[in-house]
Amino acid sequence: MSNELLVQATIRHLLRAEQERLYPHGAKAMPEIKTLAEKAQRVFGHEKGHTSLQKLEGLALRTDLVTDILDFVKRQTGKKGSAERWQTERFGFELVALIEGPLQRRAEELAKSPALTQLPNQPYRPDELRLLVWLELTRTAISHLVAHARFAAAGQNGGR
Amino acid sequence: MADTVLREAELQQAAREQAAWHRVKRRLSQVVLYPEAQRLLRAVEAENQTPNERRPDRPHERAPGHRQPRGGRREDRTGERTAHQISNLINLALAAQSPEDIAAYLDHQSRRDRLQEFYRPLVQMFQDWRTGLVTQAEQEVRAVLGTKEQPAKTLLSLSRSRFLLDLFLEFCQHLRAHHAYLIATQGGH
Repeated sequence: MSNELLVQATIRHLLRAEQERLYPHGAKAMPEIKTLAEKAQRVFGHEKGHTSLQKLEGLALRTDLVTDILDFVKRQTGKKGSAERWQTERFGFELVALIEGPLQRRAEELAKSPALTQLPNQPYRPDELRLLVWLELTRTAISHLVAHARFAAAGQNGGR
Repeated sequence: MADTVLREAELQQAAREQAAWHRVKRRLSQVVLYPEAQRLLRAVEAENQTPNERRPDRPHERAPGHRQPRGGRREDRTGERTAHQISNLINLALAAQSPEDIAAYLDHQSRRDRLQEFYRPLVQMFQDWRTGLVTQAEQEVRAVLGTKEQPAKTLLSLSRSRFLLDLFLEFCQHLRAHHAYLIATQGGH
């Protein structure tokens, strides 16, 4: 296994232990995640088709930069007209705050884990490791939020 | 046959360089450019703040020393002027052939009275990048490629100009997103 793949595998292993924090109904769920998941259901739950929230999920899976995700959320939140729902209940603002606050701080802690830092022939600098972990945490959190919103939408459509 | 082998080696080297540059840009975009875009817009916002806005307790009174900006300058209250300038910058970043194109445009715009708050810090920042940030990027690319020991070795497919143009475009995209967000923040939602 190449060194890069080994780092990715280690990060995924570390994140498995984070699921309880990142899943909105997890035993140790971050309060910010819980609140945002409820808001995602209320704000986006009634939408049909490919919503902007799902576009966010697609971007999160494709990109290798957290700042791409932040830029997307900021652009959506700043849009006028029909997209103003990102401002409803301050959803967009709180999502930015979640990514830039608790998720970034948690990434800093996890990136210092010996499982990562003591990998032989570590190919990444410490700040690159932090960015990689931050990206994975953000991806996971967004996936959960989108899943909650879609689940609510399915309920409103009578489960069809 | 020898030409084909040489060409193949060049292509592989170019691919390695592109991958190294992508990795370095990924780091710089998040660690340097994103916060820099936020800092610039905060500075422009502070500069645009009128003395009246600094006295929210007595909004009907003008603060001492308050006067209309000269030359018909008006505060960019809705952010439209800044949004328009950011849009221009993105077009410029996409069309520029060299850093000189960008430097000349920034310098020209910074002399326009209504746009000084926005362009003056940009001129300084871009000037700093042309020396500091680009050198850092080049060193990081060489380190990733493992050519640190041979500083004189020429990169096949990359140049300092290319680094700078790419970084400037990234920066402008961060600017656009953060500016839209700032305006929404001020909308009182």
